[in-house]
This record gives sequence, C-alpha cells and structure tokens, in this order.
Amino acid sequence: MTLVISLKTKDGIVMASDSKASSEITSNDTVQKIFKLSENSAVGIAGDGSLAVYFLDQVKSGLNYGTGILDLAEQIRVKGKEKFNDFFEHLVPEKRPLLTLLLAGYTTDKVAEIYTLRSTDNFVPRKAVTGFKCIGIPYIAEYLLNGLYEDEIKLESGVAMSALCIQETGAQNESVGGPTRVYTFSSSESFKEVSPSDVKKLKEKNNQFQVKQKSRFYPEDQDAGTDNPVS
Amino acid sequence: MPTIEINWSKLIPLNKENIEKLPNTGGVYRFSKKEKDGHYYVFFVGSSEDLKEKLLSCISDKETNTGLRGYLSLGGDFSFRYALVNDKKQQEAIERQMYKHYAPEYNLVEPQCSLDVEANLI
Repeated sequence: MTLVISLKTKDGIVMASDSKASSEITSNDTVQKIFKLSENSAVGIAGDGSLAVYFLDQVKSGLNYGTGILDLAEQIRVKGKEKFNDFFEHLVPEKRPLLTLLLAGYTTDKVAEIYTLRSTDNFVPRKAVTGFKCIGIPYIAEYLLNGLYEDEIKLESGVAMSALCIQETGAQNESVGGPTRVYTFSSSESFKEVSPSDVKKLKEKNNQFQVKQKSRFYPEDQDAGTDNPVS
Repeated sequence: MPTIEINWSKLIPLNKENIEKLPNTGGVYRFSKKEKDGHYYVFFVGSSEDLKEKLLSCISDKETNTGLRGYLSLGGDFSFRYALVNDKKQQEAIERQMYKHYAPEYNLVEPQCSLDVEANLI
C-alpha cells in the first residue's frame, strides 16, 4: 500500500509519499508515487504500482496545464474514465483494481487547491475542504494533521509535518515504508524534490517530537523523595 | 536484571543556591519544569561523578547543550531531583534507564552503558 500526502502552506504546496511497493509477487522500497505534471502542479498515486504508472502515462499526454487546477482535474477525469474503461471493460466495476489520484496545483488566480480522483468514482474530482489530503493509508496521517495543521503553516514546517506523518504511519503499518520522498512547488516556484539528506534531518527532528509526547505521561511525583538522600 | 535501591531527593527548585548545597560526589539527577497543569515534567536527565560541579555547569552560560541552555534561559518553575550513586557504571545505567523512561526532550543522544542494572526512579 501507500501513503501520499498533500498539504497547502502559506508559501506553497507540499507533496510527500513513502516509497514502498508490495504485492504477492513483488516488494521493493524505491517506487515513485508522486509525479510532476507541470512546474506548478503534481499528482500522487495510490493503487497497483505498475498500473498507476501506465495509467498516468496514458492520461498525461495532451493535457493542457495552462487553464488552472480545476480544469486540469476535469481533463484528468475525462481521460481517466475513458482509459480505465478501456483497460478494464471486461471487468464489472466492483472487480476492477482501485486507483486513487491526489492532484495539487493552482487556479488561474494562483489559489492552491487539492483534489482526489478515485477510479471507483469515475475520477470525479473531489476538492479537499481542509488544507490537506491523504490517500492510501490515511488514518494516522489524518489524525496527526487534524491536530497539528493550521492554515498559516510555512512551507518548511509543512515539509516537516508531512515527513512526520509518513514516518509515524510507517512505524505503525508495515505497508508504508522505504525512503520518504517530499516535493514542493508554488505558483511562482517550480516543482522540486527536498533532498534525501534534508528529509533525514527532519526525521531526526521528528524523533524529538515523539519524545516530547512521551514525557507528558510521566510527571514527577511531587511528594516523593527525601530531604537528605544517602548513597 | 539486577536491581539496586537508591535514595532520591525531594523536588528542589533549580537554582545556584540549592546546587551549592550538593556534595562534590557522584550521582544521577533529572530536571523538570512545572507546566500549566501543575505537574512537573522531566526534560533532562544526567549523571556525574561530581554532582555539584555538573549541575552548576548545566545552569551556566557554559553549558554546551544549546537546547538545554536555551530552554533554561526562557525561565519558569524549574526543579531537580538527585540521588547519590558512587559507582560510575551504575550512574550511567540509571541515566540510561531514566532516558528510556522519561524520554526527556533535551537529552539529544541515548546514553551508552555496558552495565545492565535497574534502579527505583523514585
């Protein structure tokens, strides 16, 4: 399985994912799950890895990126539905594999938006009503983001927060793992990947966050101890 | 795992005057801060062969742990608790035990220790 996260920050959009792929016949930790669409838009995919990549290759060609993220989502819906029906016309809908896309980018007015498009839903774009969205195995990440995320978050903190969510999910669910990949972009800054060494530093910092949580459960007993301890 | 019984002090306000009263002997200690809920939460643990000198260093500008120094400089209701332990390996083992138990925010690395003993933490 997979965890892909997208969150909006004051200075741009963060997209992050794990890298683990596993199925009955294959397992590795180097799978790309987030793909650049344009300088200011990207898509993350959860579902069967090889199908996802092939599907995306088919859908990407001929997209018009200059008309805003909602229009881009609509273009993907139309092509996605068509391609998916082509791929699996021999299967009834409930027997078809699941594919979920997490699409993030900007409107023509430079407003950040995030959409999910699901194969089970004919890829109808669903706009994220909070500033973040997770696909794949979202539960732990959504729990954390519900408690930690604020609209005013800065890009670098959003990067750290998304890395934390993937780290925590990976610690609890073996289906999520491998190197964490984090990408950023904005209406003025092009899509780029956060370096693995920076992600590693963030993870170390996140360990301190976890540590702080633990100490909250073990307060000192204020009545215990003696005035003159002896060895 | 072998256990040892140690004798902990009460919570003592963390200031130079109180630290000056400590002996120049070995032991283990932990720092805590009173939070809004009225509880003291441990944020740093340690051990030393000279408790007084070590704790004076911790609250001075010379403290090399910049996170700890910065946190203490913010001010607040800080306290400490200590226990006298002469054996250096036992000191290290108890420091590591406290590190694992309290997960203190300003201990940056897990203390290393070759001795496997456990002590009462209160």
